[in-house]
Amino acid sequence: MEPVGRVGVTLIFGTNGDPATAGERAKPLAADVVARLQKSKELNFKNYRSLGRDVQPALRAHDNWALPMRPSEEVRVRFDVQGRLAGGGLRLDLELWLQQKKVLKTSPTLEAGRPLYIRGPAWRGGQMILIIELIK
Amino acid sequence: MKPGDEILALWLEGELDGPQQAEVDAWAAAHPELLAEREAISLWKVDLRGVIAADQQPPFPDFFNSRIEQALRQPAQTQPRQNPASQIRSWWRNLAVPALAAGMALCFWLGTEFRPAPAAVTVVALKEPPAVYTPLSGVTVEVVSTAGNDGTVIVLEGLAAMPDSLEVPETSGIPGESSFKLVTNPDTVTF
Repeated sequence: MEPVGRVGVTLIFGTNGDPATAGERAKPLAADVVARLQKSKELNFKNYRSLGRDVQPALRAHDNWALPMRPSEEVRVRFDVQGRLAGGGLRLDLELWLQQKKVLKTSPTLEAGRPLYIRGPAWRGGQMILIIELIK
Repeated sequence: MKPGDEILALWLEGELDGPQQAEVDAWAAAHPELLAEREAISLWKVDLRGVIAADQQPPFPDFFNSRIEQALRQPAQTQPRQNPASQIRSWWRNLAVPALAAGMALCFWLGTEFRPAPAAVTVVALKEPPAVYTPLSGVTVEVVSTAGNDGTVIVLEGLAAMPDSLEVPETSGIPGESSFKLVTNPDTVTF
């Protein structure tokens, strides 16, 4: 089946404390990404770390799952395509699942360069943030 | 004097004429609700004629033709012969029920012709914030735009914290494709 696009899901950790609490496997973000995040008060932290990412093809009439902490299923994003925008974006039906529980259902419109951020649960003194974007 | 029910019914359908018509008209002048009802029936007949053209077969014509034939046969078997004007009125009354049924069937048929759009269609760009819902009680959801209006932020408040025992897996985040590109520092990611 031909995908209508690709959706990237990145899980990051934002904290005003010591970012090392995220562990050695968590990587820092580039300075321009940090600057972009810090512009919004809802996403503004002193330090960030990347906890994982996943990119999945967006297939029509399919339940698509992205697991940014693969193989862990503690954080999962389910999405299915509702329609394509004239400019190449996608209208999605999207759910966030944490620890086998659905915690959010939404219907975002994803366009290239306009990600959807979900400020999620606290973890190790900071905050988990999901960045969901349309990949060209 | 109030006319009988049968005469009144014929008057409502506009099927009286002559002195009978004038007599009921005079009585009905003091009953605006009946005048309104008569007007509504008259409009309904006009609408019905507009929906079903004279030269157009109704849906399932065999069924309805048989119903019309049956309706036309029954009075001939059970009632004495009527004068021509009365036969025309009776014909209209007999036709009204099947015609109404034909109208309903036409609406049903039009309903069956409606098809949902394909699963993924091209739609116009939608700029309104996404609809959000959480099934968890005690959790609130807020949708805001980023400061540079280059994205949308959904803020979930009240979620239970993820356990500190959750570790970043060794294989975490190693997809084949990603918009994240390594920059000067290979341990740093950007998008």
